[in-house]
Amino acid sequence: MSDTSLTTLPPGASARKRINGIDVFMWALRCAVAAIAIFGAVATLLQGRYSLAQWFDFAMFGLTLGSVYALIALGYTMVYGVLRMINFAHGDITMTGAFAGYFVASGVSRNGLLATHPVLAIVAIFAVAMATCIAVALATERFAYRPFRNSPGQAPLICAIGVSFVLEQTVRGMFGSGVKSYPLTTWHDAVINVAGLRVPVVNLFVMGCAISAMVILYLIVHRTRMGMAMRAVSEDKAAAALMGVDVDRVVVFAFALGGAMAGVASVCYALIYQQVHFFMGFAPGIKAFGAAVLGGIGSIPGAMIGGMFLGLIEAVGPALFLDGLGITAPYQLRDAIGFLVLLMVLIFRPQGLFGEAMAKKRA
Amino acid sequence: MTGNVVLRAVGMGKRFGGLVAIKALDLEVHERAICSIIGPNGAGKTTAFNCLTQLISPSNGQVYFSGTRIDGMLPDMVVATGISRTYQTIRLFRNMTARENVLVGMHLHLKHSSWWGSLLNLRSNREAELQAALEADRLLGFVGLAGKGHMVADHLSYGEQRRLEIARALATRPRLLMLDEPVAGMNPSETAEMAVFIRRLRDELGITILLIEHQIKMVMELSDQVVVLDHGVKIADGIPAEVQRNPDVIKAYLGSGGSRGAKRVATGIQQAAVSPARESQS
Amino acid sequence: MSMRQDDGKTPSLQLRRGLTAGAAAALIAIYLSSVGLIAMMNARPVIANALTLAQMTLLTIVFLAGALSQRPSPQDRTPAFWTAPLAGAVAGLLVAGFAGVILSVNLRPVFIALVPPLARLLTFGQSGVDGTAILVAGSALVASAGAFYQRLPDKVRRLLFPAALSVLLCGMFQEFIQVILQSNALFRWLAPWFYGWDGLTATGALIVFAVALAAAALPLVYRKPAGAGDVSSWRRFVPALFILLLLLLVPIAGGPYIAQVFLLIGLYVLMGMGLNLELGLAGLLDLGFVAFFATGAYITAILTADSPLALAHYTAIPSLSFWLAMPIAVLGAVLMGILFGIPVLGVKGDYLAVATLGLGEIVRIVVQSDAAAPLLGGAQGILQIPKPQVGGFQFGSAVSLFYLTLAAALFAAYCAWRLERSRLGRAWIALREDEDVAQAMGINLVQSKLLAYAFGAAFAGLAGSIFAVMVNSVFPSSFQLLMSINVLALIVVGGLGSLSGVVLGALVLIGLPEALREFGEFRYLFYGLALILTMRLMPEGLLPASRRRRRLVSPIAVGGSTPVARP
Repeated sequence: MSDTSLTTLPPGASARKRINGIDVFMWALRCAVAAIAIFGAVATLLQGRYSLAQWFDFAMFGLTLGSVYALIALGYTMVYGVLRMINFAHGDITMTGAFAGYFVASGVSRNGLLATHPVLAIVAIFAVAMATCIAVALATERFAYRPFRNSPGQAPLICAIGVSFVLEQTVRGMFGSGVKSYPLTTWHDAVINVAGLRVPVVNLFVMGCAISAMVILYLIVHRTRMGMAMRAVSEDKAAAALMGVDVDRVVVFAFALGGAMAGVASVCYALIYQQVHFFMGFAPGIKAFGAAVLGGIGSIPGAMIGGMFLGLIEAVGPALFLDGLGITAPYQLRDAIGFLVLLMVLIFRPQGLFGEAMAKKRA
Repeated sequence: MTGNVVLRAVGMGKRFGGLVAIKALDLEVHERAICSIIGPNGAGKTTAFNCLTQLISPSNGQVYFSGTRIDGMLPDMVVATGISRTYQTIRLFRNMTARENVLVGMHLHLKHSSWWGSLLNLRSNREAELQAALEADRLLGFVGLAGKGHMVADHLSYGEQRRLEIARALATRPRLLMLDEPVAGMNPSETAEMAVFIRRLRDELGITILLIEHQIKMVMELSDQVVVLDHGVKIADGIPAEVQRNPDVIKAYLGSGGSRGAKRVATGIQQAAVSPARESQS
Repeated sequence: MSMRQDDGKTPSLQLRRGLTAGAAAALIAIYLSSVGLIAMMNARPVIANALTLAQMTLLTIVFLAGALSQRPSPQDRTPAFWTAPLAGAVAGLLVAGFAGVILSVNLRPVFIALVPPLARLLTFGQSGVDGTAILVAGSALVASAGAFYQRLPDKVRRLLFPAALSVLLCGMFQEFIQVILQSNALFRWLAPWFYGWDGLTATGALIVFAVALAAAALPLVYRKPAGAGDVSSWRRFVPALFILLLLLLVPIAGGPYIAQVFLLIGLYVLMGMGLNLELGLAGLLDLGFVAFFATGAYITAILTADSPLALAHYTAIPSLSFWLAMPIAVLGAVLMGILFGIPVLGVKGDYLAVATLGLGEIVRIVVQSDAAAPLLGGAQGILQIPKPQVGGFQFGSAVSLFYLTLAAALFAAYCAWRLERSRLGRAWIALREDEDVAQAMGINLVQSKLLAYAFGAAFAGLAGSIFAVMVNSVFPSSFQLLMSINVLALIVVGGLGSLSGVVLGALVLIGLPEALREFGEFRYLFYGLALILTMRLMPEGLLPASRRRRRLVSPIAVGGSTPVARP
């Protein structure tokens, strides 16, 4: 299109939109959610049940969890970018990394390396977890997803659900179904005091890891040839292939990068919760997908912001929105808040907060 | 041109983000006319079709069909007012049989075949379905697919699929039929056949035809009215002879100011009559 | 000249083929061992004192490796026979090596299944250099048998396969078959021919093999006289009739446990038919399906239970009988389906799957929470739901409830069958094929989609209502996401859009793990593998719906004719 067509439209009667019952229902739904959130928040704040330090704790925890969600979300975003498919098993890929990390961690903890050379031990845990996640992600891609590369419809998603089950059950069968507790590092419970607020070192460490991983990823995607090829494929697969981009390699690369991020995420997640379990990957996986959609699927900064936002809402939400409404045990509804955010995003803003261009392409 | 205006668009525009695909299109189509929209690739022809049928909603302006304002309606309400269409790339229900495809087209006129009636296996339901099946077969016969009702749409040849798409559109009992490149990928003899068929639709069924076509020769022979779009702007509108002489049209198709796409189409005009079909039927 | 080229190339190609097949077989065996399946299979004999399921599985893997090594490929149309023994030998060697590792290194702290007894099992009790040699030779022999089988004419293979499968089934399910045999004087007389007190005897296995062989040969003999078209239409009903007969008779003969298993299968068939309307016809992938089932169960519970949470306890509404509560539960589920469907009306494709999953999870989390406990009992659920009664007869036993479920399923099947052939059914299929075009043909998307959710929910609600009386109580933990995925798996494996497929899928995916009780914990591994393998090997499922309903894999991927229109 040449520039002449980019002129603005002449003023005139703008096309109308008929309102039907469904629209009304959807608006009511939106208003109801907003109303609950606002009333709840106001009520909670008026009651003053939580101190500033407590809010700070919630937020800190939320951002920490959010940075893990962001890391997992990056895996969804990159795979979706190149393949337009939801890697439903990504959460479980993350779980395999957590297990690999657990075995290394318990090994180094038993032989004392964790106490004598903590940096070396931590690096080893991360390295093994990342390597495992990358290997599992690549194997998944090769055996479960590649055969469906060009088939639209629901076959790839159904296959991915199958992969998710196989990964969970394989880990369960091999390593047992019990909850395994991560060995504690010496600095695990350490706390830094900043202006009267207590900041746990673990949270800082997790956020630091997550942010550096994301920065590295951003540089890889935007500064390397392979990253450029990846962006080209996510714009237009056919055109990229015509330009000499090896699509297979790009897909493998995307899965590998996603796997590496999942590896970092898995160790961080295990550090926060200090335990691993074969089913641990599922819920964070689905929520991280929500985060990826929230930030505009296909966008790397979007995934980061989406993840942080989701973590924050989940951590602060029960106290902020529900406590004031007099709901008993609001923390039991934490996951429901996460899923609700996911749902609202999918229903009302599937293109995400920053995903205008992507949405049009899919339409 | 005789007859009342059946379709009227007033200042209809469509914007995708910052991109203006159609800019304030005014269009009038008369009853029982054959009207063609032509223009270079990317001129906004198919977008105009989509906006007229409300498959996408126009950003500006109004659309009237026989006096009823249809912009803002859902596509299923638009088809109920009597507009039906085909698609540039064939969009049949590929895993359904030819007859079922046509029966889906009759959806609106099968109100007697309700789901609860089907559950109870009511006689009125069975009657309605039987009548519909007969009418579907009649329509298939009309488009030259007699005896192929049981075939899965996907297994029909390319030309047959095109005709099935028209049969499906006719099943909605339209007063205005919109055909998006009905002869794309056809060889000259098939093209000529299709032209005859389109004229039959008008003459025998009294349906108004709105056409998008690249085959300029066919357009000029067939149409009562030709509309030329370029970059989303209407640059000509009138009887074929008039439009052919219009300097803006000649410039859009052949002039140095035109886009590369336009030139390609222009070359296409010259070759249209002799070029063989680009696609073979598999 | 091309011949010479081939001669130069083929051996290395064949070598690679043999090595790959052998390594793949070994990897599968090692995988199954590591997750603990092989050890568990060893507890189930196929032929008493001769062959356990574990041994049979190992042999089958090697056998298949041999058979697959003989499969012609585009590069290599006539694979040499020696690739099969090579594959077998490689597999044997690798498995022996794996067993050696288990014996020499203590892997137990990490891999809980890798213990010395497993190593002995894998090597069939052989050890040392001689033992390894015997193992390698034996597995080469088995693989050669596989290759030989692969080279048999199709007709013969079609006889041998069902015969071997029958022996396997008769052996695996010996306890159930024994119960059935003991239930009837005629059968009781037959039993000693097949079964000893600890399983299928060798003679029994031979008899089963021979009988199954003969049965499989029967259609070959009878095919000629009848008209070809006749046979095919007649034969299509044979599996359905057979399954129906099985469903009718087995629960009575098989005792309470089997009746319980069949009851569960029946409930899943009901749900499967519901999801089939949503996914198989309308193309709506709904992973929150379990919410409808839960709605049916909970409504039945609060209307009929003898508990402080029942409506009768704190409102003026009297306690209802099951027969009144069930229709209300179905209506409630329908309402839930519509409420559930409206928000996700505009969500498409993969997003819909995740959105519905989220909705289903929200419902479960809320029901489970203490916040909803005053109404729905929270994690403690609602107890003391009475069994349905007709006059003096109480549906107390699993058998009677099974017949109730069967009646419900037959009714639902009739509805599904009618709907599929109705105008609405056509609209659903059109919707699944191309939503935009369907709408442009005058189909009201909102109405059609909501009706799909409503019908799917109705079937699930009915199942939930029966489930509630079956277990006498409802707990939120019974309504996990996993249940939605079970239903999805069974209709995908059975064949999307196919009614008989739903039944077969439920028999295989629900019945099998229930019947092989000790494998219960592996059921989800089984489901996962079943989903992947079905999608890869037979995307239309075990009993595909008629050709036109096919949808999951596009014609492009399958290689159908797709004329390319001009861009």
